[in-house]
Amino acid sequence: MPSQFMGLMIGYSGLSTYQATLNVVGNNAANVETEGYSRQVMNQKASDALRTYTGYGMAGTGVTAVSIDQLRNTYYDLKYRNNQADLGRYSVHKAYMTQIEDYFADDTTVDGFNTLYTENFFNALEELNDDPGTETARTNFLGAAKSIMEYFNNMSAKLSDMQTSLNQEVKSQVERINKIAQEIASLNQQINVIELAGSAANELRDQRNLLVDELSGIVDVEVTEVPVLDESYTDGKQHSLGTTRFTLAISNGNNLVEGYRYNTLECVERSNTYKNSQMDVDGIYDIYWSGTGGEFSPLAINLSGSLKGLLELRDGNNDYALGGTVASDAAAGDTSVTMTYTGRAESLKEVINELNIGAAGTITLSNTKYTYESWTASEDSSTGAITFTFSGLAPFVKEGSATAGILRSLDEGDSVVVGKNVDYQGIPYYQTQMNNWVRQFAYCIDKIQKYGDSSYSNYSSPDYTSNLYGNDMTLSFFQWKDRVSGDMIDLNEEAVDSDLSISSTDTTAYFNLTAANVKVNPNIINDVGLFSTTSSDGDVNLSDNDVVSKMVEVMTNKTTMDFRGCSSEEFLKVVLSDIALGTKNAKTFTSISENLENTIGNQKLSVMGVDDDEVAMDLIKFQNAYNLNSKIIQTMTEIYDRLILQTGV
Amino acid sequence: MRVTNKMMSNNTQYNINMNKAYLDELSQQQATQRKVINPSDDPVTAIRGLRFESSLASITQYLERNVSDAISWTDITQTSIDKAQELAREMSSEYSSASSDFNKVSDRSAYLDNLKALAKEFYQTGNTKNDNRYLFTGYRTSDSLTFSEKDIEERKLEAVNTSAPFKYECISEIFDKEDVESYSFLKGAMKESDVDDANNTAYSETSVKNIDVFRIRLAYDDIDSSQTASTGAGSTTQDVATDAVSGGKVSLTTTVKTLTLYNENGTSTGLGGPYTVNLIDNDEDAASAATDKAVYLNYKTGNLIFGDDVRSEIMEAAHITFGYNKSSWDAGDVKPEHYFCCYDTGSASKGTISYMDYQQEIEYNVRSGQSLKINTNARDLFDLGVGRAVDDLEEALNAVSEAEAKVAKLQEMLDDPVKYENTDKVQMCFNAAQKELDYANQRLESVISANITSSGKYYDKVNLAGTSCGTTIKRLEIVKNRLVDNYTTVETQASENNNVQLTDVVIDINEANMVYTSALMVTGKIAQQSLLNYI
Repeated sequence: MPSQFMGLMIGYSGLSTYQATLNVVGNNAANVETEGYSRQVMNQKASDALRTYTGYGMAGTGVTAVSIDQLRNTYYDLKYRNNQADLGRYSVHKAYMTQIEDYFADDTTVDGFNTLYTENFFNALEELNDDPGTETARTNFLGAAKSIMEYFNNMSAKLSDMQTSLNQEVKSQVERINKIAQEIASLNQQINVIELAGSAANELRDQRNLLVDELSGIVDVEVTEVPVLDESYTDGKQHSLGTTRFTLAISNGNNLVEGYRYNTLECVERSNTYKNSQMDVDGIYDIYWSGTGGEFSPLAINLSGSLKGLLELRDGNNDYALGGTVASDAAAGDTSVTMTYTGRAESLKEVINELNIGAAGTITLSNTKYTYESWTASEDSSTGAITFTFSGLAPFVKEGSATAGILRSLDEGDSVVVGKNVDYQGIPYYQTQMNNWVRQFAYCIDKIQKYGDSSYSNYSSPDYTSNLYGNDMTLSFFQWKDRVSGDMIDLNEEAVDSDLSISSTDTTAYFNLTAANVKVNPNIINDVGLFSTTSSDGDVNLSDNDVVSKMVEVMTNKTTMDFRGCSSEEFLKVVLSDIALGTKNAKTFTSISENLENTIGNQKLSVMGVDDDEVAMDLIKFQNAYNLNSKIIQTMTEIYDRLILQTGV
Repeated sequence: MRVTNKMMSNNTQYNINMNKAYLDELSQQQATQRKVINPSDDPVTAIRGLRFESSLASITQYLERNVSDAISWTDITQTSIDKAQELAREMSSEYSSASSDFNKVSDRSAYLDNLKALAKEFYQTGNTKNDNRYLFTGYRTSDSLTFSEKDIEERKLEAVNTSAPFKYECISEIFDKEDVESYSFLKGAMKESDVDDANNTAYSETSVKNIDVFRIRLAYDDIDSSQTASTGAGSTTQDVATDAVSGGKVSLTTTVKTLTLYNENGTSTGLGGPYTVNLIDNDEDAASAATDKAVYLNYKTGNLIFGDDVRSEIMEAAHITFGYNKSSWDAGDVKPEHYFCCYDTGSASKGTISYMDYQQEIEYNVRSGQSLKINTNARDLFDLGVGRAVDDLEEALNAVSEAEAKVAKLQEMLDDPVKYENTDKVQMCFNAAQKELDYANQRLESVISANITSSGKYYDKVNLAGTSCGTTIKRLEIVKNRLVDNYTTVETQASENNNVQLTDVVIDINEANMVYTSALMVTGKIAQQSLLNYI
């Protein structure tokens, strides 16, 4: 026979449980719009029954509120985070590629390359061709030539600015990663403190998940959470302590947070002497692990995330850094290595057109990174083989300097990469495209101006000595402006043409010329008579235009100037195709990822989200249950009243 | 599956956003009339659009500048050629009128002056300019065809020798056997003093002789009496017609004061010469030419005189070259650099100016890859023979006038036997003078008849140049029409490629707007309602 007052206790257990449940419902309702909040439910069960020693057996004793649990599906979390990484990467691509697309735009509203070159420059050249002797035609032509070069200066500067801002963003993303790592490590501790006491740290877990979600947009994440076992049991069974060990790895298993410990990344400014690409802005950041000093690279092919997107745009050279194989065995300690060029260019001239290495820089020899101080290149006149020799080799170190000499011996055929291969058409790629065009164009015009011929199929000596309009031109039509000294430096193709070799110290060679520093020779701008329009005596034969008509050919004839298999005037078509396709891809992938984010997000919400109707329903449900239980107590009260005050009295 | 309000609002938000993005794209298309706003929307169309734009730009350049400039150039050329043709015709008819009855020409000097004026006007036509560029002087568009007072004055300021500011050396003429003409001159004509002395000394008729020789007429008379070359200006080398056998260029060298014979392939092997000419100032000094094997150059009249032996050698040659110097130039003279290879050594500041090219073709690009020669070279039109024919006539007329004066004077002496009592002697002199007059008249007649022939030839030359210029104009018109067609075609294609069909866009916008509105309506309904509305 159970206690006389047991009914009252049962009513009480109902009342208190539903009171608590209503609080949980209230909490859900309150957090209906809270980002990352997981729906909570009250876990309740019937209380343990009492043996009554009566004919009817066990008697129920009411209800017990066991725990408040959160509803969350970790599978969707995983899917969601994988997608966040892609979304992060493609959003960066989209944001920057749309800008690049705008820069190169040429339509009814913006004057771009086509307007300046195929319209203005072409028209000026045609007029010069018809009337080479008049000052207006010559001035007009120079103006058009100048504005083409200013276009390239401007474009290059814009891309460099963009590279700077990408670099800044890399740094702030890295700082964000560090901040998140620190916060997660601290949350791990708090969660364990709470959960050790046996209760679930729902709110803190939500916070942690939210941070991991954010991090997954920056880099790929991998989360493992295993219970910590109580080792004091010897019964062979596993007993959990109630705490967990939470590990967060990023970018292919690099542990960022392990329990309460966390690692940080640091951005180290790359030395301005050893740039990966000739066109890189100063202060490019390399990312290292602060603890071990190892280099951190999120660029592996299976990875994603906005940090990878940023690095791809900042360093992307379409996987086409200068490279080749070691030409002959080298012993450890050697300070120079010769490389056999294995790229697509067929002559030294073509290599120089697309060359994007600095005078000094970084080089990877058989997977070990070194720095070099200078280089020379040459083409074998009979076999056509192209070789580069890099001197002053020293192991690459994060800061400071290292003893010269290679660390390990090299065998013939070992791989050589100068700078770094990054498989994306990022800023270095477009800079190289512009440089390629500018170098070829300058070379053709200079050569026509000096020798009346632009063919460089063979490196023959000049066709005829210069004999120009009123003057002998000893300077090149285009020059490059030294960034540091501000000097205008003359170009001379003979640096390559005559002996098929070149070195990083040849200031007159065309690899020095870039879209950023190309200028029309200021002497010519000041005296329009200084450039050549005819190979005959220009003083007398004012209207002779043999030189001009050769310059016209540079524009339209792709055997005279071949830019990626097209004529020079098709530059924008070729490059804009790259940009348009890149942008289109970025847009498409971004919208796919956004769509997926929406879908997976909804799937997550399907489990963890709070629904208005459900809350309303719960409210009524649990209120009714509460009311019912209070009715129980009322009824019990009446029973006791009857029993105690009226029965047998 | 459990669906929460948040999920529904997420989905509707996503869909509404999609609708809005589409609506935005359409409204941008409508506002800009362009199919592609960013190249990445449709790379193929965008890149094709660029190609159309540059085609249109280049067609516009060709059409509005190159072709129209070329047309203006050739139109003016045509007008000048018409004028030159008119002058050539007039000269031709002047010669004809003289031939029908030369005696009717009462005032010979007026007749001659008229011809000279016509010839001068003829060459003056060659100074026509278009847009401040001389039309007939090849690439030397700043260089007039004839010397002007200004040219001479300007050169004097910096000339090596101010009395001969322009000194042309090795003016290199190339002749062929067609240029060899019969030529005759008087030998042993009475001098003025002989006439005066007729009463005392008889002059034998037999000593007045007509020497029949041959000549090649140079382009200029009054050339230098001294034919020595400055350093580096003694010879020129130029390419002439392509050799029919080898297909290569035939290269000829011309040397000052030397008549050189070349055969078809440009060698001198097996031919006579070269001849260093003898400089004379009076044809009579060349009297022995008929018999000796030498070439004489009368530097005053600009004739190369030689006899039959030399002629027969010349007739074997394909090309004959001769170089000479000339320093005396008057305003109105045709500049030799437009006709011949030569050097100008007269300038102190510029040194020796070489003129090694006189057939300069100005070509205008009229469409991509096609150029047309638009200029006419003076050499093909203004033959230097036109002026030289007048010189010949002047000389012949002078000879007639001189002989007539002698005859008249002797006639007077004959008519006055009282004063001039030695009638026999006077009569003999009279006969000699009469013979001279006969020869002179004979020569005049042959000069006039030669000039009638040559003026016809010169007229034809001008005519031919006119025809070829007319052909160029015709071709330019065709090119122009084709370019206009081309422009329209490309413009249509470009518009089809770049521009949207307004009706399509309007319909699309209406559709998109409808979808958008209904999406909003549904969303509004869903968002408003919840269970709370019913409890």
